[in-house]
Amino acid sequence: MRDGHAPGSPSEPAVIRAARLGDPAAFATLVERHGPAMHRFAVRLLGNHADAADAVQEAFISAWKALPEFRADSSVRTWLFSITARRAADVARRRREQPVDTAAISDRPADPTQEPGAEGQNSVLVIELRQALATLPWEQRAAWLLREIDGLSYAEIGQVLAVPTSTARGLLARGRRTVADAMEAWR
Amino acid sequence: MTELTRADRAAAAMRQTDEPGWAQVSDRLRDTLRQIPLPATDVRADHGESQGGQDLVSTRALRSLLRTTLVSDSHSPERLSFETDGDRLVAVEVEMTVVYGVVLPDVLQGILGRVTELLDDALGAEGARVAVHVVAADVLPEPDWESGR
Repeated sequence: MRDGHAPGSPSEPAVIRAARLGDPAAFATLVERHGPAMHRFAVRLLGNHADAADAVQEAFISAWKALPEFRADSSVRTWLFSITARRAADVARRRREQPVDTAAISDRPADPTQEPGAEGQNSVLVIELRQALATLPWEQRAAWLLREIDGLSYAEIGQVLAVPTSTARGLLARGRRTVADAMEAWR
Repeated sequence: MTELTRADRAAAAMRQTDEPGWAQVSDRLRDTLRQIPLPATDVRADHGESQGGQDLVSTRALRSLLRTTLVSDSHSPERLSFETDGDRLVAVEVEMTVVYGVVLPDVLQGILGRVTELLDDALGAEGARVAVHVVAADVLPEPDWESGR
């Protein structure tokens, strides 16, 4: 699921330029364009909606403060993912003492086994995938989400996680193997 | 044709699945950001005794002033940097994006004059001490900004 922007609306460089100069409306546009993806990423990384909300909020506050110094060495999307990943790690660290909220993982709006057809089957798959992702180490889970859901390149994943590209590739390979094995085992 | 694994199908399903709650996060974020101004420094202004004497002006106000004033059909500010020494503004660096076809030295000279004028108005005698540097950071085939004109 990608978050493009409407034809005719300001281009990404123009919005970044204005936001970097302190234009709050331009920054609001960046939030509108990239916020949903950051939110989805944080929810799936943390497995908890309340923690994800905190992480995304902190990430965009950090971005707003740091934007005047933002150099376009990476895309703003990759930059926002890296800030979100760091803030999510901070939130997870603060919560580490607390037990894992398994209810959040399985807390879906409806029991998918009661839903007929392909939609119900997809819901079951997504629930199983959430459970498989929850078993992955943090960086493997982040790498898996960035690649499989948001389509980032290995190099971009490396930038987000502050690791070399080769390490990003290794994290992703191990994450994929674990997820695939888990899902086949649950078949 | 390769058959998709369960993990592949699950990933495809997750890509089509949204996570509830973004609207609430977005509302809360908008309220919070409204209360968080960008980092800024208060710098000294000196308008002379007859014009109100000395006071302080935030670089946030100067940034906003330059951001909105330096936009035209042919150029737009890319980045603004303020160098301070205590409460004195000592230098302003203005990086501009310009469109192809302009006479660059003339445009940059015009911007330099405009920035100097704005600093003089905002900071009075203190504005005259500020070193102003204007550079062309990027050139675009056509403007991708709203000039408001």
